[in-house]
Amino acid sequence: MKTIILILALLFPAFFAGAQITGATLQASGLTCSMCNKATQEALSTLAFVKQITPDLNTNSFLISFKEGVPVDIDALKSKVEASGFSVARLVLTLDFHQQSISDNAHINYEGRIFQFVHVSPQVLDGPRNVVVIDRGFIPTKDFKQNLSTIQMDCYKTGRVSGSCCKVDGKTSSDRVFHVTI
Amino acid sequence: MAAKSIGFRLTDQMVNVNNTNGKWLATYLNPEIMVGLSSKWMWHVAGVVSSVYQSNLKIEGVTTYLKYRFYANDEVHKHFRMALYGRASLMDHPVVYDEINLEMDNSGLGGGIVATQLLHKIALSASASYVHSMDNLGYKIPAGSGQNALDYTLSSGALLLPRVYSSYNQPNLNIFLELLGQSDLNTGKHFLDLAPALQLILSSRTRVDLSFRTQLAGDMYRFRQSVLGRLEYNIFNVYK
Repeated sequence: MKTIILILALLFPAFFAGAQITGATLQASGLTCSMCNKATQEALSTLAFVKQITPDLNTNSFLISFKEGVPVDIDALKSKVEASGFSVARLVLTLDFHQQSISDNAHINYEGRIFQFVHVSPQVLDGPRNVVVIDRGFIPTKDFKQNLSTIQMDCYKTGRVSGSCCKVDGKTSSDRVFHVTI
Repeated sequence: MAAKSIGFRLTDQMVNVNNTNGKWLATYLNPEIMVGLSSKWMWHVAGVVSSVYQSNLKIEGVTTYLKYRFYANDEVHKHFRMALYGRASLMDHPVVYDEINLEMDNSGLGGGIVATQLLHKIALSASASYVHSMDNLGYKIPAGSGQNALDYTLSSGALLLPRVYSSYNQPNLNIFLELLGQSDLNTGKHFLDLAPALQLILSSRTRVDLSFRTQLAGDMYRFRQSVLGRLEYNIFNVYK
């Protein structure tokens, strides 16, 4: 059994190398003052997987570290910012890679969630690397609309697995796809 | 307001009463609770206590306000928002003045629209609303008084201090200048006021406002000058 898994891991590294989200930098938009910043930070700190938040009040950014072993809900980060009355301008995730080879439109399976790399050249990622989430709601609306003209996959429009481009075994159209770039 | 946040506010507005009842420095006191129901909905309820209609403080009534943000476009240090709002009030004192003021004086209903543009440290806001006054509890509106009016405001605010943030505990100082007007649709009477204000935010949670309001033009029987002080305290993520 172990031999079979080892052979599969060598043949399909994209699905077995895995990645762990160790931290993030989130920049909020729609605000300037520190009271608005405080409301946003307090909302983010209610998330069970958040360990610590260090704010930068001048750029409305938050350096977030995550608790080990607790799954990170990326959409929940966005929801908490929006519940505070603001929006996400930028989300950079730090993923810990182990000899992960990527190319344009490559998919990585992380704890059942899919990351799709966009606008990247073929390379091997190893160790902690930052990826920028470019999905709807994680970048300013006008930037997302601009991206739609160059990224025409259904899954980018909807944020969910689409039969026409996401050939990921065992995944259905209700599964979330996070589009990231380096 | 952030969803699941609650704010407590106490406003004190002072006016000079000078009529057949006498002459004294009177006050309106509004203790208010504000609730962020969601990122789009906000609800306030306030009591009105005043010494305007008699020389002692008396509970005059209650007013409630609901706001719905239907549009928001956010960018870094910028936003454009639009919201609809409505107010309902019930007051218990004689109807004396021409101005229809649902926050402090009149029973009635009102609703309007507000738009706000934030650009780095400057905020601009404009609003327009319709107000309809009704008889106060036990007191009818005098014959010949207007009961329908348009309210309009134009305001600008700027974050003066700090110039650069280093901590949540730094006091923030904002300065505001507001134009507020009302036109009575029945009588044709109107007023236009100017209200400069200073706002201090402490520990990114407590707010202290001080403002002065003066009439620039108008022909309504009303208070032409007032001084306002306000204290506000916010608690974020009060409930799950």
